[in-house]
This record gives sequence, structure tokens and C-alpha cells, in this order.
Amino acid sequence: MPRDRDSCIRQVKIIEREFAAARTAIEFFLRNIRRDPTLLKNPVEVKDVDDAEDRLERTYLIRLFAEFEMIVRGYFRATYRRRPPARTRDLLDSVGARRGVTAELVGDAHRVREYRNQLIHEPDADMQAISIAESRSRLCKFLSYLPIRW
Amino acid sequence: MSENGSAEKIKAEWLTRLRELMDKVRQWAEDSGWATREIEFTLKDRRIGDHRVPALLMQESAVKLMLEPVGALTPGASGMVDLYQMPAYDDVASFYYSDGQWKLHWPGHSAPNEDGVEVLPVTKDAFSRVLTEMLAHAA
Repeated sequence: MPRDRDSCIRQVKIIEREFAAARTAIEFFLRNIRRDPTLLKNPVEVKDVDDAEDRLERTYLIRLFAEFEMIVRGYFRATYRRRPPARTRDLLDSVGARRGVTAELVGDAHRVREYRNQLIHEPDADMQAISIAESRSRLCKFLSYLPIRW
Repeated sequence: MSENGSAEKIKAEWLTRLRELMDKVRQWAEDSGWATREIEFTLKDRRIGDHRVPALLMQESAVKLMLEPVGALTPGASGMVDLYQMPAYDDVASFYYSDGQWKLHWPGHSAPNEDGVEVLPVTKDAFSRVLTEMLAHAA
């Protein structure tokens, strides 16, 4: 199915908006259950909701990057008529080189990828966090180098 | 009125308000020397149904902005439109329709409310301030 760049970029932004909505909802819910824990139904405890709040941004960041990667893979497959590189690092380098993405923006996208990898594989390791807003900004700039349609 | 009839009415009013805002902003941007281009996209909305809406791209030098509808039904308002800096999709400001008029919510500027957001009437002067600041910020 043909894709257009603007819709793809908008889809990445929508995930950030969903994160903002989820955070607002969970903060509201937490305020209420701290006041009245009987609002909770088994097996959910206040601590579970606390944990969900703590991990909400990283959860959405993983989803944000997955959407970005799916767009880039789809673009590669549709345009070059072959399987995209299996490693995401190679995929970004390949598309970056073919579309003339600046080295700085390719590097920015790699740093989001590396942060996403750390969140998945070493969630407790010390790491320089990248906010979801900063991640969205970097990944949308990369996507802006794709053609208008493919 | 049936539920569908009500949804259709909300959608029609929303599209009318959007048209009014888009036309005003487009004129103000062009008066300030910005190039503009209107595009259309499908706004997904499970309450009033998916529908096509206009969005406005504005560009001056290297600064590119997009005025993009968010939704007809938002808490405390009958419509929300965001202004983003492109291509990063960074938030710049938001327009809310309430009390029968569009209002501009502009974070991080003088005279903010308790949320740190300045609420301005949507006028040519107010919008020109936003454009001027975006250019100054980029310089």
C-alpha cells in the first residue's frame, strides 16, 4: 500500500500525544487511589500503578521507536524491492546515506536507538535518558528526508 | 436528535470553525511574508467519525510551521488545533475554541496562567508575535 511521508511523521507524533494522555490519566488515577485504595480491584495494588507510572515514558519510547523503525523498513522494502538490513543500525545508515540525511541527524537517530536498546536489554543500567519529546523530534527530522510518497 | 445526527452537527460546526481559523492564519502569515500551503489529511475520531481536515504549512527562511487540527472534542473546549515546528513536530502553541471564540495558548511567555501558558485572543498581532519569535529563535 502506498505511504505518504506526512502521515507517517504524524503517526509518530500521535504516539507522543497518546503518552501525554496516558500520563495525565494515570496521574489522576494515582491521586484518587492514594486517597481511596478501595477504588482498586484485585489483583492491582497501588504499587503496581506507581510502577506503571514510573515506566510509562520508557514504554511509550519503545513504541515510538518501533513505529519509526516500521516506517523506515517499509520505505526500504517498497523502494528498493528487497529485504531491508536485519540490523536496525545498518538500516538507518543505509537509508540515511541513500536519502542524504545529515550525519548529525543519523547520529541523533542512533542515540535514540541505543537508548531504546538499553531500555529493553538493560533497563536498570545507568544511562543518559532521552525524553520522549526529544526522541520524537530526532526521529521526525530523520523521516523528513524520505520522499513525499513511496 | 439521533446520535449520528448529533455527531454530524458537531463535525459540521468543527469544520466551519476550522475553516475560519485556517483562513485567518493563512492571511496573517502571508501578510508577514511567509509562504503558505494548505494540505488535507484524515483525522481519526471515533466519536464523530473519521473526517478530512485542512492543515496549513507556513515557511519563512528555514523556519517551517504547521497548523494542524487535533480534535473537535477536547476537555473544556469545542476544538483544538496545534501549531508545530516542522519537521521535528515540536510543540509551539495551541488554539482552543471556547466561549464562542478561538484562543491561543502559548507556553513560556509573559503573563502566563498557573500552567505556565499565556492565553491570548486570536488576533493578527498575537499571531505575528508567535511568528516573530519563531524566526528570532531560529536565527
